[in-house]
Amino acid sequence: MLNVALIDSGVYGTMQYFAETPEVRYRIERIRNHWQPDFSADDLVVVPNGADHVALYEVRGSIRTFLDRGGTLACFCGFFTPWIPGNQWVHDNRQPLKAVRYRARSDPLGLLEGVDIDQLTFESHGISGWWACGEIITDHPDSVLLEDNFGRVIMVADTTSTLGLIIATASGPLGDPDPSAPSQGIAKLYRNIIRAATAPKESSHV
Amino acid sequence: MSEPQQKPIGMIVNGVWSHYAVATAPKYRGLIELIYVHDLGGARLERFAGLIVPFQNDHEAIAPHRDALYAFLARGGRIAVFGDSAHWIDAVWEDRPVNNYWWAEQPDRPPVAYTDFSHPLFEGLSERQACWHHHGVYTRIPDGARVLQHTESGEVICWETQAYGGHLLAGTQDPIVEHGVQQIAHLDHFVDSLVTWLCGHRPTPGKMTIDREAYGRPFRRAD
Repeated sequence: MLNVALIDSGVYGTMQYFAETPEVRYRIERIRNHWQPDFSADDLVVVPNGADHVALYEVRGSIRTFLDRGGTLACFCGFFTPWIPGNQWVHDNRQPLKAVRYRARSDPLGLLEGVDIDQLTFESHGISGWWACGEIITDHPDSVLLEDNFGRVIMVADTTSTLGLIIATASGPLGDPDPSAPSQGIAKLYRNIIRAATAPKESSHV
Repeated sequence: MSEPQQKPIGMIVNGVWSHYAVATAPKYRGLIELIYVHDLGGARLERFAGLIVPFQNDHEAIAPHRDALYAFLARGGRIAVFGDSAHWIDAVWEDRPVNNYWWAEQPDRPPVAYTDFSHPLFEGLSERQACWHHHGVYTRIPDGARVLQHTESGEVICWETQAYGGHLLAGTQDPIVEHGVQQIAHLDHFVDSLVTWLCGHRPTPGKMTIDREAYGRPFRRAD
């Protein structure tokens, strides 16, 4: 059983993209004023698109503690405040979306197994560039999983910055299968993240 | 037009990146001040000419401050509320499927079929600049409110009332979020018009740019 804390920032409809299974149990962690979350019983913390990065910055110490005991953090939102160790998201609108394509870099955890990257590139009805915005500035280039054709980092799987696993997208949303979604590439990638969070951790730290 | 020293617009946000992107963009940052939703109770709203409540907000956190927002209207202020589920205003919102790919499949049939272009918010905009996808509809609006946009079937997308003293405008399109995301290329026109309607200052014309130095910084909350 994987225990997942799903961060709820009060945005309507966000939670509907995550569904419990016999293997995955979600716990809604609702952000309120002076939020003090306890992640001690969680294996995975999921930060969906539309999350409160002011509150997440305020609890960065709790997140760091969670990661340093081997937890997995998955952030699918633009983290504009500096709360994710070793990684920072920065917005960037200099390239036209119709020219954006994604490509794989390295994938030691197998997160891209069975994922058709074109389904991420053309996520919405054949329209390119809608899945991710901006880029991730990472301290650890070896952790780059996906980049775009302009060399911008789109997704990282970082086992170096902490004793846990940090998976972050450049705001590209991920979640369980959505029957109305035009492709299932996103859901497949999310299932692979669940699998990686379930597996024993092998940190790059020595 | 030069930037005023006192920012005339407050934008109530809950830490979502697209809100932050608009308010920190060089063309808007002299006009819009971020009000973190959990600091709303201590915000001195009287400093502002207008308030924006963007889509993707925490309306449960806003609702306890309803009286302060209606007092802002009573003093003649302007409030623009966008998106969904703003249950603290005197109206009823209902969810509907979101069609944000209409322009690729049926570009001559936008989800918003009617716009009142005589309203200052929409005046001078083209249909394409005023109409994109929406997040639900209003099934009840205040008595006497003016419908500014509706769907082909007549469901209300945007309305305005002056019944509370100032101007309360509510719409289910998402101009701030989409402009922050930068996936709709023409929204400078709409957002510039919105800013002008709220405070009388027109932002410098042209495409919104991003200040990379604004990212990776702690967000300073109100004391």
